[in-house]
Amino acid sequence: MRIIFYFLITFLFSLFILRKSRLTEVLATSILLSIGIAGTIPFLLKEYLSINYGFTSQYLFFVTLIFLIAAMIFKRDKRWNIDLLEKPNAVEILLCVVMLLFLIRSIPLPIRGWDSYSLYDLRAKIFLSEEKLSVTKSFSDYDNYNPSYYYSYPPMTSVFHAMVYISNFQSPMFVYFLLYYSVIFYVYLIVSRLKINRIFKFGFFAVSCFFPLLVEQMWVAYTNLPFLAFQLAAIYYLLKYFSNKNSYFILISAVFGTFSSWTRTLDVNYIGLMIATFVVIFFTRKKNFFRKSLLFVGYLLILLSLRWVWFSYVNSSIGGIGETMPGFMEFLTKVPGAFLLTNIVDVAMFVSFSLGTLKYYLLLFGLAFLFHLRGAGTFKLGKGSILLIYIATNFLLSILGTFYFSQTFYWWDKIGGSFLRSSLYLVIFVPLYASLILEGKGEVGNNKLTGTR
Amino acid sequence: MVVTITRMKSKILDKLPLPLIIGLLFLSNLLYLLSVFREATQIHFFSVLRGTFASLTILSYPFYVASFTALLSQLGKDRKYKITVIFVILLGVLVIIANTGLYALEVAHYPNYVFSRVGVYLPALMGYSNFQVIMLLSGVLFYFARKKNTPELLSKPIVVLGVVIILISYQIFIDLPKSLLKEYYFYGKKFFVSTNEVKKLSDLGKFSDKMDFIIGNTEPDSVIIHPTQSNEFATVGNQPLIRYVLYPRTLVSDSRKDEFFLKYGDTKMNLYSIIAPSEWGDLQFYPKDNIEAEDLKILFDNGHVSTYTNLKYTEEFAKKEYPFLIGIIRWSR
Repeated sequence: MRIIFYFLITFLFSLFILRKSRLTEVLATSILLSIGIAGTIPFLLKEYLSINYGFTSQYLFFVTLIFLIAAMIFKRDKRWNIDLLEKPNAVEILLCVVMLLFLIRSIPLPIRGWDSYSLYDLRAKIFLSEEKLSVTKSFSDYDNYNPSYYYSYPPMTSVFHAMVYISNFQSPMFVYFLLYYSVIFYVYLIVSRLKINRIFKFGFFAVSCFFPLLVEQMWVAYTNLPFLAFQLAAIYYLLKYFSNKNSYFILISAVFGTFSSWTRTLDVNYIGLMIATFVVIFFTRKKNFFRKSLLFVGYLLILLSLRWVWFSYVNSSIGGIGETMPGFMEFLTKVPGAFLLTNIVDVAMFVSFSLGTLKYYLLLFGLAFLFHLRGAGTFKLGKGSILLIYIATNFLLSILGTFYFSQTFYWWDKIGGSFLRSSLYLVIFVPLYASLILEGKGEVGNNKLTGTR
Repeated sequence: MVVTITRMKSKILDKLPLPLIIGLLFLSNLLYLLSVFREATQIHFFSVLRGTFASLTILSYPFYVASFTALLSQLGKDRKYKITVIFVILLGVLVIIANTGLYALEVAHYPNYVFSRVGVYLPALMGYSNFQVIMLLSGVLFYFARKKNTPELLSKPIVVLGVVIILISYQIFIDLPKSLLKEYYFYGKKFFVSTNEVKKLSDLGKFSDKMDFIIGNTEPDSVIIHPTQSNEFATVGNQPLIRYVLYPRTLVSDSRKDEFFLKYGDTKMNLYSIIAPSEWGDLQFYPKDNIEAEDLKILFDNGHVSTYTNLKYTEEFAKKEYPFLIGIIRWSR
C-alpha cells in the first residue's frame, strides 16, 4: 500500500513537471524517478545521518511530496489546466494493459543470478537489519578471495531491494520488470514520433526492445537493466531538450544520469552522455556563452554528484576499490603499453567473440554511420548526431578499457559475458540511431527533428 | 561508390559461366554443411585446421551471393539458369525452415538436445541460415534493381537498413521464443507462480535445501568453517554466496581458519564445520582433518537426517556416509 501511495505521488509529480505529455512518458518517468529516489535517499540518510531504513521507508513519500509542492508553486504557466495528459492512443493503452498483466505475474518471482544473491541482495539484507554498509568490512577477513567485494558496486539496487522488503513484498523482481517497461516506453516514445513508414517504426521498435539478451535482464537482478533504463531516460531528455530548448529538461537528464552512476560506477557511459550534452548545449542554443556555461556547470554538478558521493564514501571507509577504477594518469601510462601487436590481436579476438551476438547491431551501426557521413556535407547537428556521439564515445572507451584491463588483470579475457552485458546499450541505441538517420534520409541537415510537446 | 561497384560487378557477373556458378554454390554449401554436421563428418579429425575452416566458410559467403546474383542476372538466357535459381531458393528456404524447426525442437526439450540426437550443431546452422536470409534478400533486391534499371536502389538507406532490420528481426524471431520458453519451463510451465515457490533459490539446484539445513542447525551468532573456494566446492566454498543465506553467521574459509583460531581461539563461541562432498570433478570430502564433534548431523537426498553425538569425525566417516547432501559438525570445545 505504502509503495502504491509513494508511486502515485511520484506520478503526480512527473505529471506536473512534464505537463501535457503522453501517458507512457509520465509513467516511464515516474517509474524511474521513484526507483531512483528509493535507491539513493535512504542510503544517504542512513550512512550520514543514521536515520533508519524503516523510518525512511515510512516517510519517503514526503520527499516526492515536497518536490510536488515545489513544482505546483513554481508551475510554469500561470493558469491551472485540467488536460495534463494527452489522450492516450490505442497502442499506449495496449502497452499499459500488457504491462499490468506481466506486472501481476512478476510480483512473486524470486531473485535470480549469482551476483544478485551474493552482492546486491545480501547488501539489502544487511540494510534490512538496520546495519550500515561498513559492517561488510570485516566480512572478507577470513576468506581468500573477494576483498572489498561488497563495495564493488554502488548500492542503488540493494537499497531499493531493502525498501521493497520493508514494504512487505516477498521479492523485488517486479521492479526489474518495471524498469524493462520504462525502456519500452521511452523507445516507443522516440520511435513513434518519427516520420517514417509504420512497418519500419515497428521494426526499429522490435529490434531495440525484444532482443533476447535484453529481455532476459528482466528475470535476473543484475544492475545492467537499471543502468540502461536510467541512461535511456537521460538520453531521452537530452533529445527532448534539443528539440524543445527548455533548460530544465537538461536537469532531468542530469538527474537520470546521476542515478545511472549510482547503479554502476565502472561503466564509462556517463562520459558519452557528458560529451553529447556538451555538444548540444554549446553548439545549438542561441543563448549567450555565460548562460550556456552556467547550464553546463549545473548539469555536471548534478551528473557527477552521486559518483563523487560514492567514491568519497568508498575512500573514507575502505580507501579505494583498487585497480578496476584507475586514475587518469595511470590509465594513460598503461594503455599505450597495451598496443603491442599480439595484445591487439588478443583484444580484437576477445571483443569479436564477446560481441558476436551483437554483430548485426554493429553492422547496422556501421551502415547507418555510412549513410550519416554521406549526408553530412553541410554539417548541422541533429538528433542522429547526438546519438552518434554517445554511441561512438562509449564504444571507443569500452575498447580502450579492454586494453587497460588486458594489461592489468590476468583474468581479463574470462569476463566476456559481462563485457557483452555492458555493451547492451548498443541494442537499444543503435536501432534508435539508425531510425533517426533513416528519417533524415541520411542527410544530417535535413533532419525533421521530432517535435515534442 | 556503391553504384559504381554494383555496375562493375554486374558486368563481370553477366559473363560468369553456369558450371562455375554451380561449382561455387556447391562448394560454399558443402563448407556450411560440413560445419553444421561437424561431429558426424569427423571434422575434429583435422582440428588444427578448424580455425582456417571456420574462416573459409565465412569467406565463401561473398562468392555465394555473387554466384546467386550472377544466376539472377542471366536468368533470361536459358532454362537451366531458371532451374538452378529455383533450386537455390528452395535450398535457402529449406535451411531457414530447418533452423527454425530445430530451434523449436531444442526449446521443447532440453539444451543440446538437437546436437545429441541429430548431430546438428545449432550455432553453425544459425549462421548458415542467416547467410541464406541475406542471400535471398540481397538476391531479390539485386533482381529488382536490374529489372528497373536502377542500381541506386542498393544505395538507398531505406533498403540497406531495412535488410539489416529484417535480419535482426529474423534472429529475434528464432531466439526470443527460446528464452521465453526457458523462463516458462523454469517456473514449472506456469505463467502465474505461487509465493510458496519463491523461497527456493531455484537456479542453484539443491543449494537452497542444503543451506536451509545449515540454518536450521546453527545459531545466528555462530561461526561456521566452510571449504576453501575451488572448482570442487564451487557453491559451498563460495563465501559471498553462502553468506547470502547464512548471514549474520560469521564465515571462515578453511584456508584461513588457523589465522582465525590464533585470534579468537580462546573466545567462547558456537563453532561449526560444514561437511560436504565435492560438487565437481573427482569425489573428495571436506573436512580432511579429524574433529571432535559434540554433535554431528548429516542431510541425505531424500530429506532424511542422521544425528550423532560425541563422535570423532574423520574423513573415513564421510566416505562411509556418502551419498549425502551436506552435514554440519558442532565442535566440542
